[in-house]
Amino acid sequence: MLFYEDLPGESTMEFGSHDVTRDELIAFAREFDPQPMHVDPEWPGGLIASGWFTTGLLMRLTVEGFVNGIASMGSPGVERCDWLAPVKPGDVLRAHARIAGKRPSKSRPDIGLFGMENGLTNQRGTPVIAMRGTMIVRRRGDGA
Amino acid sequence: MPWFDELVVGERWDLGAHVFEREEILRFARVFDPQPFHLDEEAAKASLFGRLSASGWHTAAVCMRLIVETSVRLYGPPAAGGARIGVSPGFSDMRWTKPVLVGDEIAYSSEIVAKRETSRPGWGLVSHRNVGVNARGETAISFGSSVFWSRRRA
Repeated sequence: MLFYEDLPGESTMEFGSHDVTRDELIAFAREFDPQPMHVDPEWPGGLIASGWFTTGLLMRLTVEGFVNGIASMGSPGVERCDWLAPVKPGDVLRAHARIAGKRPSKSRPDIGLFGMENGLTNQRGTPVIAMRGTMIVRRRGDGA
Repeated sequence: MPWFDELVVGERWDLGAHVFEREEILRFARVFDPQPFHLDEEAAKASLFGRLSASGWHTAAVCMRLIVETSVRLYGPPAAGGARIGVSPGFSDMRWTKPVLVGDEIAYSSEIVAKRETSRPGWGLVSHRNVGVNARGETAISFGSSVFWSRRRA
């Protein structure tokens, strides 16, 4: 388990890939984004993923590949997220991230913050999503 | 469904409310945000909030569902030859300001904050500010979103 003090000042990582299936796109969209282009397998031009599915997938791969290995305390939010290209059934999406800007919290001595830029790239090398946000991590110095 | 040209900046939709139950919090987090404080009450005790909380992506995804349902309720499903809502290029300024805990009811709203013509023929871009407020009147989540919207042909 890495704490704030163990994190590098700047680091680029690649982790995890996922094969997108039609069924998971439809299942997600039926529950959270039931617009026709996300739920209709016969949609002209082909069914595409909801951007929120792609965001959730990026989150899962980032959590499994990095966040669950650090003393994460979550995030106050995300600055921006761009859905750059359509995601379709059969796509293979690889996750990558860059962390930078490690700094102590101004309000609490037991946590620190860092910036994260992460994204997914498909099998053609096309970025499909790019996100930039802030993560909170515990400091080892709190006696834990 | 109104055309892009008919939309009014400042128009606000009441999207309705959703109660976040324990099972759905766990089900979403298992798939999309498997951090311990979204999966387990014991682990959540050590978190910033001290209790099991919903993933911020879950509270955002529910807002999306309510936006789609509200659009259908107000305008019906998209009709051939009529105005259409297109794809979204993304979102911005996502803030998770209060934890959403088991049993919390979040009331959502969406307001048009800007609209502009684009270089895409037939499409304008509409920007919204979407907000979720808990039963204590505190904003739990807010984010900006944008979506392409079809323009009336001249």
